[in-house]
Amino acid sequence: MQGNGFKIFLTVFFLVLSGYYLYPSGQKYFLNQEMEAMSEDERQAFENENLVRIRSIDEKSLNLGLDLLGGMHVALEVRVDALVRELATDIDETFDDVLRAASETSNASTDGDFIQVFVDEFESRDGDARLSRYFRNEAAQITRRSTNAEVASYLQTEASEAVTRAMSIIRDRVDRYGVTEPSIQQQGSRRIIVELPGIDDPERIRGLLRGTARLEFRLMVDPAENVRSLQRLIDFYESATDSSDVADAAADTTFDVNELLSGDDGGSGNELLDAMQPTGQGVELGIVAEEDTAAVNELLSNPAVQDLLPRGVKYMYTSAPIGTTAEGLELYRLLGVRTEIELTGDVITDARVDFEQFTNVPEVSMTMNSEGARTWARVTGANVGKNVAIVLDGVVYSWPNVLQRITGGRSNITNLDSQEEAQDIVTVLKSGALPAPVEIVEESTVGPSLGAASISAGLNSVMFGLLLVALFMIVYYRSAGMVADLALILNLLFILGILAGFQATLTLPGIAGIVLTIGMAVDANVLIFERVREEMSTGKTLKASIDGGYAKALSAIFDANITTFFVGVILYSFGVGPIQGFAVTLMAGILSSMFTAIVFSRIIMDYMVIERKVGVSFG
Amino acid sequence: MRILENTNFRFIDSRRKGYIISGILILLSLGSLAINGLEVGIDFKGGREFVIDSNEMYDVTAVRSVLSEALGTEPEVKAYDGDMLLVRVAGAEDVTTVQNAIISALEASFPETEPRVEGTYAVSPRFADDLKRGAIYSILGSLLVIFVYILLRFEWRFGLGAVAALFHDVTIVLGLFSILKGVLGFSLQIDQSIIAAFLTIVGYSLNDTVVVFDRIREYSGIFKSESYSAVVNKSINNTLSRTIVTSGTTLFVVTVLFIFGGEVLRGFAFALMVGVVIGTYSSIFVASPLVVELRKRAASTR
Repeated sequence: MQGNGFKIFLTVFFLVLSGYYLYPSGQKYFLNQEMEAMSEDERQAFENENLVRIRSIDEKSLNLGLDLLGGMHVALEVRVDALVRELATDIDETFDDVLRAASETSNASTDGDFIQVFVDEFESRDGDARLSRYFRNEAAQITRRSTNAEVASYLQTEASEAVTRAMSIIRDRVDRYGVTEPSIQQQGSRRIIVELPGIDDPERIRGLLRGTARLEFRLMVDPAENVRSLQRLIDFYESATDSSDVADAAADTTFDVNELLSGDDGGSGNELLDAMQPTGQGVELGIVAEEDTAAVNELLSNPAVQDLLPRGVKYMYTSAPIGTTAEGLELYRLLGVRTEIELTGDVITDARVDFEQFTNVPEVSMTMNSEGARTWARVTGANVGKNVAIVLDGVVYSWPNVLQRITGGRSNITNLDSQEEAQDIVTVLKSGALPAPVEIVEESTVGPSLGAASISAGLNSVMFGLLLVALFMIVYYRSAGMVADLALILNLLFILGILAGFQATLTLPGIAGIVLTIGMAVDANVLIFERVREEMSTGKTLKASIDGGYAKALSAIFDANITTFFVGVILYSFGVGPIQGFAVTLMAGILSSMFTAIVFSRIIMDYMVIERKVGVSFG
Repeated sequence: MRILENTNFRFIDSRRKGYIISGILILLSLGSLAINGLEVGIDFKGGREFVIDSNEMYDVTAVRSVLSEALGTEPEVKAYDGDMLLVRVAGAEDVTTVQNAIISALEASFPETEPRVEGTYAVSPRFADDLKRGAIYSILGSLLVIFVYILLRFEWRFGLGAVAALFHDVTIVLGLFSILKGVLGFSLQIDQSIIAAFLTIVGYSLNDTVVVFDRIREYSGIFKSESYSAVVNKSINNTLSRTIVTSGTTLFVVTVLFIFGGEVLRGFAFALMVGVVIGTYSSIFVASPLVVELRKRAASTR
């Protein structure tokens, strides 16, 4: 048929390919219809039986973006600077300074290699500085004699391993939480992108993703020492508001004089007492309202008071508030714990949600490995009658009094808010502690009704756009217009097929891209048809005009579409998120519209004119 | 049916008028950009954004003052898609904290509305910097690619004409965004999708320009005896029908997008709408006349 054999073959080939890739999506749609008609039990049973089949259909069908499905998208960044600080020993002020400077500098460049910046910063300050002073690791063969370059590469390895480990830990946590079809991917050298469809409690997810899950068992401050320190602290801050002491304080530039001068509403004049209600009972220093916690932290970290505090002790807040003030402020206890950590979460082999025997309050019960059990027995044995703090992520959850030596390696976390909190703690304990803190640098959540609104908006746009353009083509180009409309529909099929084939995600901007393509696809046809009209006006036969039209318009079509295609490529490379969806449909749309206009409509035209000898009018 | 076929408008002869109009539009745009500036979205500025659903419509001003007190800073508050509310807060505070503060403040002051959060979007300063950088690279990259491409396909004069038309288009559309800032009911903030819209306009506007250039090149070979101005004029006239029809259909679909595409896409669709119109105008009244000018300059210096 006139050299169109190849063209026909191509068209059929792509058609079949698109159909093949889109078939799972169709299956999924009908499957969902079926399942909706079933009752809850029937559906459960059906799902269990056909789990593998359902999974594979889900995987292969068209991905819908979170802005259409509803769900949560989070970009996490592993804090490499915090990791570096943790790997270091014997930290001094220089180290912290360099760390801070490096942080700021590396933030300026996105995927900036923090480690390199850190090393450079160190060397720029002091050419002879040896990083091995701060970093030792026998396993990695980093010793006193290691060169800076060796330390740098050791840190790099640690950092990239930390990111990989963080990713698998997060994947584990997400799986335990129970999200359908989560997506977790690494982006760059220290970012992790997490996509969770259908999430309805973003707050829990945030906690789950960020929680470092540092579990620590610590002994606590000696109550007698605690009371003494409290008195000393009160006295210090009492006299600190005295003008004579202010002069001394002014000479010491490490804290803000104005802070000492300005009391809180001029209360008692004692800064510490303004922020904290002192109790000095047992291991408790005092009670602090939520909004004052930062202030108290600062007062306690004042270098001048370090000597007044008990040696080897730091103060931490409780996890749950003990109550609220009249104004609705939450109050927390401030407890003294030893800086030395007796046991960490490494020894925990199992964690479970349990319910307290009599009150049915949820708690987490943990089991330790044999080594942990031995240490736990020793610690409890040596401290009967004293309190042991159970600390999770720097906050004291409970500080039970040891009644007797515990040999079974069991322990509980109590004082939890809800069963969900218990569940989440079990999740993070089981998945393990994150090697370095992660920060949420970007997140977006879309509720189900917003998502549904977007879907209907998208579908409406496509429908009306298609209708409008199709109508116009018929009115303006008559029967040639109908051919163009046919090509348009094929176009849509191809675009969706390309998306499904490349496992790309369809987002709302992606749908916008499809609508745009509908408008732009017309262009190629218009170019051809206008040429054909021109040829016809010079008196050529229909067939010759068609030949001439297609031939001459080709270069213009190519030129016109290629620039928009380039823009699509660039948007895809530099864009993030839904914009990439737009770029993909734009590119797919251009390719398929060129194909349908040049190849497909030509086939139809030739068929109508040559085979059927029907006069195609061009309006 | 025919539209504008066999026209013989004197585009090139009356190009001065085009220059004046363009000049005025560009001056207005630049002026507004300098004085009024552009509203930058949290994509590039960082911040937190919340879409809050409720049972009744809110009084935006009342909400703004209630939230200013609760949050300590004044947030941006807009009505969104009917009885929903859009609240934007600058800064890098913990999302959960801000969200709870907003909801409790709204519940306290407007209990009958039963506010609930339908959507959130938060960008930390570090990530915003990344997005900014990405946007700038996209823009520069696109301009470079396009200029090189035109250079390779046509001669340098065409390249200059095309690039000038592009700058013209983007300046005026940006200027329009600046002039209409806060005036229209929907968001005119510059975010990632608007940048994408601009780049699409750029790429698309080039379509018309290329088609005309293509025809100029073809006619230069055929109508060797006529003056360059006449050739260009003829080219424009002959491609006019096609240009109007294509721009028309694109305008149709983009308008459909604007009307039916939902609140999320409204700014994006608006940018495209304006861009298509200005882009078509510039292909006819900016790109081609400039090519003529450059040719004339070359001819006169010979």
